[in-house]
Formats: sequence, structure tokens, C-alpha cells
Amino acid sequence: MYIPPSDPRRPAKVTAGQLCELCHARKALVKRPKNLQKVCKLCFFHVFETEIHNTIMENKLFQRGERVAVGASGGKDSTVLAYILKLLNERHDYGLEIVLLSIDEGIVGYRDDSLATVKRNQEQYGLPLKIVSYKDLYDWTMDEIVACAGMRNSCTYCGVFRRQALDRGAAMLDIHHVVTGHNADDMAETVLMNILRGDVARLEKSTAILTQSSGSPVKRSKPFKYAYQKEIVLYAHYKKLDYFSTECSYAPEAFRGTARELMKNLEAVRPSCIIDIIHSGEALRLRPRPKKRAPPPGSVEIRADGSASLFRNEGFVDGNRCERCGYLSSNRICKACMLLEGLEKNRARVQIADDTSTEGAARLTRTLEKLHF
Amino acid sequence: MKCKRCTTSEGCLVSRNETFCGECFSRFVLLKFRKQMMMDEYCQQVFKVLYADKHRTAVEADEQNKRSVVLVPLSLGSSSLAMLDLLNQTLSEQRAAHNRTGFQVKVVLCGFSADMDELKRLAESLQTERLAMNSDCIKLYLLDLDRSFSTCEIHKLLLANDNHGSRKIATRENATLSSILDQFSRRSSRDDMLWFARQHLIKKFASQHQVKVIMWGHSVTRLADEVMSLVIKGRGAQIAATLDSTGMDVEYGALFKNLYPLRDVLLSEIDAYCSLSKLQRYIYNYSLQGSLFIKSQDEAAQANRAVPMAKNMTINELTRQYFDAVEKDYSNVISTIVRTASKLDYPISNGTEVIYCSICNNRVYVDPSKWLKSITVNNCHPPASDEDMSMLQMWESSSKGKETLARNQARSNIWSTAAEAPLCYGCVVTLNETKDRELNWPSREHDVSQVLAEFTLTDEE
Repeated sequence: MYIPPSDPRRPAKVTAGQLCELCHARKALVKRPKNLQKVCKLCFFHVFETEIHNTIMENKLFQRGERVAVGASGGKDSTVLAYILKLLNERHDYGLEIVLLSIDEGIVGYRDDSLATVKRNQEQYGLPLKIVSYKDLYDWTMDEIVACAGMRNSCTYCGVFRRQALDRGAAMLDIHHVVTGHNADDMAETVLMNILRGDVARLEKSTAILTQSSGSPVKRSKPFKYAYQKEIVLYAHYKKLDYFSTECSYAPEAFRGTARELMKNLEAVRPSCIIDIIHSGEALRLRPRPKKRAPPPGSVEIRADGSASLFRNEGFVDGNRCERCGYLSSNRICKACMLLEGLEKNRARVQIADDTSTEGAARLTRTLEKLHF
Repeated sequence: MKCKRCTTSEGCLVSRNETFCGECFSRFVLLKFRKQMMMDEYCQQVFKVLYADKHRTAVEADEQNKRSVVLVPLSLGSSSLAMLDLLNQTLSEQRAAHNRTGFQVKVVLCGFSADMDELKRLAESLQTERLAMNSDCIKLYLLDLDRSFSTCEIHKLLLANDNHGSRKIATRENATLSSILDQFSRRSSRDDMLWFARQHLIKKFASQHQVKVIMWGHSVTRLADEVMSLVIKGRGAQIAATLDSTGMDVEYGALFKNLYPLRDVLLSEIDAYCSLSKLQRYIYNYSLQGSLFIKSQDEAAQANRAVPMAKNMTINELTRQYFDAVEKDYSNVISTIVRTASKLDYPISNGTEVIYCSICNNRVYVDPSKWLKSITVNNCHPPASDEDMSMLQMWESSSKGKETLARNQARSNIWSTAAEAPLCYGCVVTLNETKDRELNWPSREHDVSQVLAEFTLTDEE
């Protein structure tokens, strides 16, 4: 039977079943994955913003008069975070001074475009912006690193360097609190990854909303700990926020990719699984290790392979610093310095002047991958 | 290629990068099983043949051997069947060496009424063909899952509309397990609830039959699934209790221990063991994988095996599928998960009172209602415009609106009088999926021995 198309000028009549389950007065547009509730746009804004506010208050994330740096990449999470922090700061009078802090990894064709978004956000929200680049800090761009060390390990280098760069950027601004846009999906993925990899050292802390080391002046917090990525995207979409939505052009970490795929399948079967995983993560606690009998003072342990440490390792000391750069490290030399040392060894001795061949290597690879005959 | 262990026989399968002949492989599985079985003093006292010593007289030792009862929950899948076969071998060896046995085995086979005839036939043939030599110390019981809940009290569990709090009221409705499970629309939730019901019956049986150890047939693969699934379902707090083989099961009166003697053996290895031991004919509702055999026995069957759609799969099946996919590139992921999970401790409880979930019987450490309340907002942006108000009026006068308001009113009336029914977080989420957020569920206290009586296959007592 022929059904004539509906007239777009005359909106279809809303039935009682289509209404928001909270206000019953407007048409539902969003189905919340957290509790399967169908809500309208205004109720969605209300619950989303209030939940972030509740998370901030419940965990006492901020102090009045505090200066906080929002780790801004130009992506959906950090854009929504900057927007919502400014909004809540004004609405609830947190008394915060918010600054945008961006890291320029030096990935031509990706980061340059996303930084342009951050610069637009800076103007839109009227917030100061500080950009710290890998080139200035380490004398390497990610494009150069990939050209030297290959694409396979790109996330290892980038992750280690970014963590330090954020802290250094905050220190340059004399800010002691960095807020990042890690959402519930990221958090759940981390919990799964730590179990799959058997990373016992990180297992208990994988769901911590506020991380702070006694030796570091910079603390980090994640106000989006309980916010679903889907809801963040919807919020940005309905609020018409300006964000950059391209994935990093370098290869994602392969094992993390498998966990992400598993989570996607799980969400289809159990939409609440992300928050469920976080609930589980909060309950994970390690059994205390049986105490080893201490060796006599002054003794040197000879390992099975015949080696021995002359200076006995006293174990992890919170607040320990890297001998080379002075950054926080659990070892004598921090991971970033180790990676840089490896890179320097492989740096080409002779270079072509003003060589730009490494720029946009990732973009070039992606373009070549898409070519077909 | 020759077997790497005996170096004389021809190898027929490869496991853990090592070529085995059939005999050496069976021995390898048996030794893994024995190692776990004798893991501590308590288990050694249960399984060993005891003699008179400075602690006991000969009569006491004999009595203790008879009182060492272990329970094997048999599903007639590969793992539990392999475990029963390994136990049978142990008994035969004890009989040959000592002319007596150190322990008695009770086997419980659970199934729905519709499957009972087939289960009974398989159990009888298993008993006459494989277990005949030790028939005096292995007793088989059939447990009809449908009938097992017919005699017990049923409660209606209610979840508050905003998920904050739960209550229970008595109901006169009769329920079979099938009808209880029909209340869930998702297969995953149904399977979870079936597992809780089955586990409860088995543990109840153990506590009523003076069982010292329950021997679960879980392979390391199955345990890894279980750990991941518990995390995914928000039941991370239960991992320590689930894997605890050292302490007594306090939730059932600290009368027995839960043991996983096959926790060092992969499912593919157990399947290979079943094929080598010719146990295929007793297997029910499961198909053995032959992936370890050098000349794969069922290549054609493996190739034709349909891949189910992710949406129709349970959480456990999805995690199993994930392991199958990553096992090639990250081979130790399964054992890593179980090793990591065994390092976990019981969570610290928020309150001083010990509370158990009304559905799954697991201990509740954090009040799920409070937790959900702290992260979820349930109030609305108030209707503002005239259009909003007219829509609200339309909803209030509609049948859906009236129904919702009446239901909310009825629930708030019940709330003040009904008894509290504590639930764990995982069960709150599952209950939230049901229609009207309510569930008929059997009460914890009931006697399973009545249901067993007429189905006991070999009870000579």
C-alpha cells in the first residue's frame, strides 16, 4: 500500500509514548545508555550538567580560587569539558580560573588542524590558551619520531611525552591542577586493559578520579569519569560545539584496539556495561603481599643469572626524581629520557637542510593506504 | 613427529608448543588435576587414604575416609565429565594401592524437566560403562531444576523507579525455574540467573549432605571468561569469593570448600582429553573442539560452525569469542587474567553489617542504590512553555500516563510496608531490564532433599 511522505512543514503529532520519561512534556530525543531512560533535549542537558557538577562536588575536585588547566586537544571530550567547566564555574560559583593547555605533538595533517579548533574555542569561550610543543621540549616532533622509530610504537612515545608535557606546561603557567577529558569509556577500557595485561601495579588505581603524587606539584582529575562518550558526543552535537573529530593518523595501540572492539560488542548486549565495569574497577583490591624476610644488612643478592645490584633497590619511592630532567620517576632515569636516549642514538648524523619529508608522514601513509587500482 | 615426553610414541597433538602422544597428554592433564586437588592440608585430609597414626585410631581413620565426601556438579559438558573421569581414575588407583578409597563422590546432574529423560539415559550409561568399578563410592543424583523451586516460597522483588532501593513482598504465585527465567528478555540475563539458581541448588545440596569439597570443573579458559564477565557485569567485588579455594564457603555456613582442580588446564586441552578418553558419547549439549590435534578431527565441522551475531550472544560468550580471537597474537592472556584475579582480595565493606544479595546470594559491599544515586540525576528540566504544559496534560490524560502514575502510586504504597530486599549492583542492573522492574524469585531458605529423593540413581543408604 502506498504511504504518502509526511509533510516536513507540519511536524508529526507526538504521542504519549514518545515523550520524555523525566518531564513528560517534551519529545524524547536521547536514550541514556546508563539507565536506558528516554529523555528530551532540555532534560538531557540538565541531567548531564548536574551529574558532572555532582561528580565534582562529591569528590571535592576543586578548591575556591584554584587555577586549573584544561588539557585541550580540540576533540569532543576536551571541548565539552572546557565548555561545561566554564558553565558550571559561572553557574555554581566555583571560583576557578580556567586556562586551556594544549600539546602540539607535531603531527602534520592532524594536530595542526585540531589546534586550530582549540584556538577557535579560546575565542568562543574567552579562555586563555597555552600551547606546549614536543619540538620545544624534546627537540623531536612525532612525525620525526615515527620516521626514526617506526609507526608501531608511536603511541608509546606519544603517551609518555604527553604526560610530561602536560605537567611541564602547567608548571610554566604556575598551575597545580590539570583537568583532562577522560570519559567513562576510557576508564572502563583501562580497567579491562589492566586485567587483560595483568598490570597489578595499576589495577587498584585504574578508576581513581584524582591522581596525585606526593612529590609532584601537579594533580590531575577526570570530571567525566562517569560520563559516557556517547552522551558527550550528543551534548556537543546538540549544543553545536565546535570540535575536531578526526582520529589520530598514526596507528592506535594494537592490543587496546582489541579491547575497544570487545567493548563495542558488549555495549550492544548490555548498554550499561561501561558504568558496570567502572563499578567493578572501584571494588578491585589486591591481597596484601606476604612479607619477605629481610636479608641481613649489607648483603648483596646474587640473581639466578649471576648478576647483582651493588646499590640495592629500595623499591618504589613516591616523589623520586629523574637524574637527568628532574621529572617525577619511579626509576633513576624517567621513561621519557630513556626513550629520548634511544631516539638520539638513531638520529641521522647528516640531514638535508630544511627537510620537510617527514612532515605529515602519517597523512601520507593514510592517503597511500586508500589508493586502489 | 615423536612425543616430546616419552620420545618413543608418535605425537598426536600439540599443546603449549609441545608435542604429546595420547598417553603422555592424559598423564599431563591428570598431574595438573592432582596438583590442584592436593593444594592444601584440608584437601589432603579429604582426598588421601588415611591410616591409623598418632592423631587417630584405625577405626577413626576408616570413619574419616568414609566421611570425606566430595561433590561434583556434572553438566555433561567436557570439563565436568573430564573431571569425573579423573576422579574415577584416582579412586581406582587408590583401590589398587590401598585396597580402599580415601573419599566418596556425590555427583549432581542438574537439568530442566524436558531434558531429564536424556540426562538420565546418559547418566545411567556413564555409570554402568565407566564408573562401575567404583560404584560403591560414586553416587549419582539427578536434580530437576523445574521441580526444585516448586516447593519453596516465592518473593516478588521490586526495584524503585529511580533504581534507588528495593523491596520484597510475598506472592502466592507458583513458579518453575523456566517461568522465572522467562521474565528476562535478554539471553545474557537469563543465563546469569540460571547460573545463580543452579549454583544455589548445588551449594544447598552440599550443605545438606555433609560435603567437604565441591569440585567445579572450570577450566582456566572458563575461569578467565568468568572473571571478565564478572567485571563487565559490575560484579567485580565477587571475583575474590568466586576464585577462593583456600577458605570455606561462608555464605553457606562455612561447611565446605570450593575447588577448581582443572584451573591450570585450558578448555582445548580438556576437550582433547575427552576425545582421547573416548568420553564424547556422554557429552550433552556441547561439541568438542579438536584444535590441538595434529590431524584435526573435525576440521569440516569447525569450518561449518556458524558464527552467531554479537547481539544474540551472552556476555560470557562474547568474552570467550574475544579470547579465541586474541589467543593467537597474545597467547598468555587467559592465564594472565586468572593469575591476576587470584591476587584479588575481598573488598572493604562500607557498613559493619554483613548483607547478602536477595537474588544471587553474594555479599553486598557497597550499597548500589547510593552509588547509582551519586552518579545519576533523575529530576527533570521543568516544563516551561505553554506547549510543554499542554503536552504534559496530554500525557497525564493518556492511558500510558495514567498507567505510569497508578503504578508509581501503587509502588509508593507498597514501599512503606514491604520488607527491604538488599540487592547487589549486578542484580540491580539485571532487574532494571525486566518489565515493570519486578521479579518473582525463590527465597533462599529451602530444602532440596525432597526434590532429590525420587531421582536418586544410586542411593543404597
